[in-house]
Amino acid sequence: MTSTSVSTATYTRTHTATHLADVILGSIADILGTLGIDVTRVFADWDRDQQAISAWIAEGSLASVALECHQPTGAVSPIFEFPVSYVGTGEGDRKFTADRAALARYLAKLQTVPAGTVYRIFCSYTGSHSSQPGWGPAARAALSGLRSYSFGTLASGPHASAGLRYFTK
Amino acid sequence: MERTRLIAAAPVRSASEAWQILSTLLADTLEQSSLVTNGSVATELAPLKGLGTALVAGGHLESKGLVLVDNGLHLTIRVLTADAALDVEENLNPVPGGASATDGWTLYLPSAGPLDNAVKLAAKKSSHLSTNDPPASAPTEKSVRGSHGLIDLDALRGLGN
Repeated sequence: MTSTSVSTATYTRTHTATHLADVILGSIADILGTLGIDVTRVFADWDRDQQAISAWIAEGSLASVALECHQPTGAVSPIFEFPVSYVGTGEGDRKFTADRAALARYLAKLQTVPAGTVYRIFCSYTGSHSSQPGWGPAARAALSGLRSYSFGTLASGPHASAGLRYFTK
Repeated sequence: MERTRLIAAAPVRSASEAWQILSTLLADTLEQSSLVTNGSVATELAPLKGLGTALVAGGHLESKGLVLVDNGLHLTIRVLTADAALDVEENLNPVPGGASATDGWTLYLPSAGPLDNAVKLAAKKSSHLSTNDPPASAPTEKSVRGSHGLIDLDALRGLGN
C-alpha cells in the first residue's frame, strides 16, 4: 500500500495585497527612472502609498492605480494604468508571479519625456473604500486622443492580479 | 570566505520591511567589530532610504544582490520576491567575520537598470557605498600588507630629493 502526503500552505488576501502593491510601486519607480523623471518623491512617500494600495487591494476596493506624466506644455502623456482584477473566493494556494523581465523589455521601448515633466498617482475604486492617510479626491486626465497599448498581466497572487496598460499620443 | 544570505520580501513581508531587515543584518554584522562604531552603519546607509525599498520591490536585488566586502569578509545579500520568497530559509544572525571588520568596509550596489542614476547619486553620498563591480573574493590582511610591501617607501622619498 502506498501512502501519499501533500504539504499545503494557505495564503491570505494580505499576502496577495502586499505582493501586488510592491510590484505596482516598484514598476512605477522603474517607469519614472526610465522616463527621466525625478523619482525621489516616490521614495519619500513609499511607505504611506504602499500601505494605502495594499489596504485597498486587501479589502477588494481598488480598481486601478494610474501614473500620469504632466509635461510642461500641459500635455498629459504618457499615462500608465495598473488595473486590478479579483478572484471570487481566492485560490488560497501559492502562485505569486511578477513578470519583471517582460516589463524591462517593455520599458526599453519608452522614450524620455521633456525636462520639467512631473507625475501624479491616482487610485480608482470599485465602490466604497477605506480612508487612507495622504489620499483624497482628485480628477484624472482624459484618455481621449491617446493610443492604448496593453502589457497584459504584470503580477498575480491567489486572490488578485494586476495588469498594465499604456496610453500615449 | 564567500557567504550568501537570502531575505524574503513580498508576499512574506513588504519591500520596506525587507529593506529594514537587510539594513539591520548589515549593521549587526559590521558593528560586532570594535573598529565600527555603533550606529555608524545606519548613517552610511541613509542615502539608500526609500531607494533600497524600491530596489527590493523592483526585483533588482534578486540575482546579483548587494555585496559587503572587507578584510576577510565577502557577503552577498539577495532579496527574493514572489514565489521564490516563499522558499527562503532565512538566517538573520550576524555574519561570522564581522568581528574583524574595519572602518574600510564597502557595500557594492548592483546595476538597477532604470534606477541606475538614483543608485549612483546615492553612492556618491557615502564613501562606504560603491557602484563598481565587487571583488570576487575578500581581501585578506596578508594580501593588503603584501601589496604595501611592493612599494619601496625609502626609494620614493629619494625621488623627492
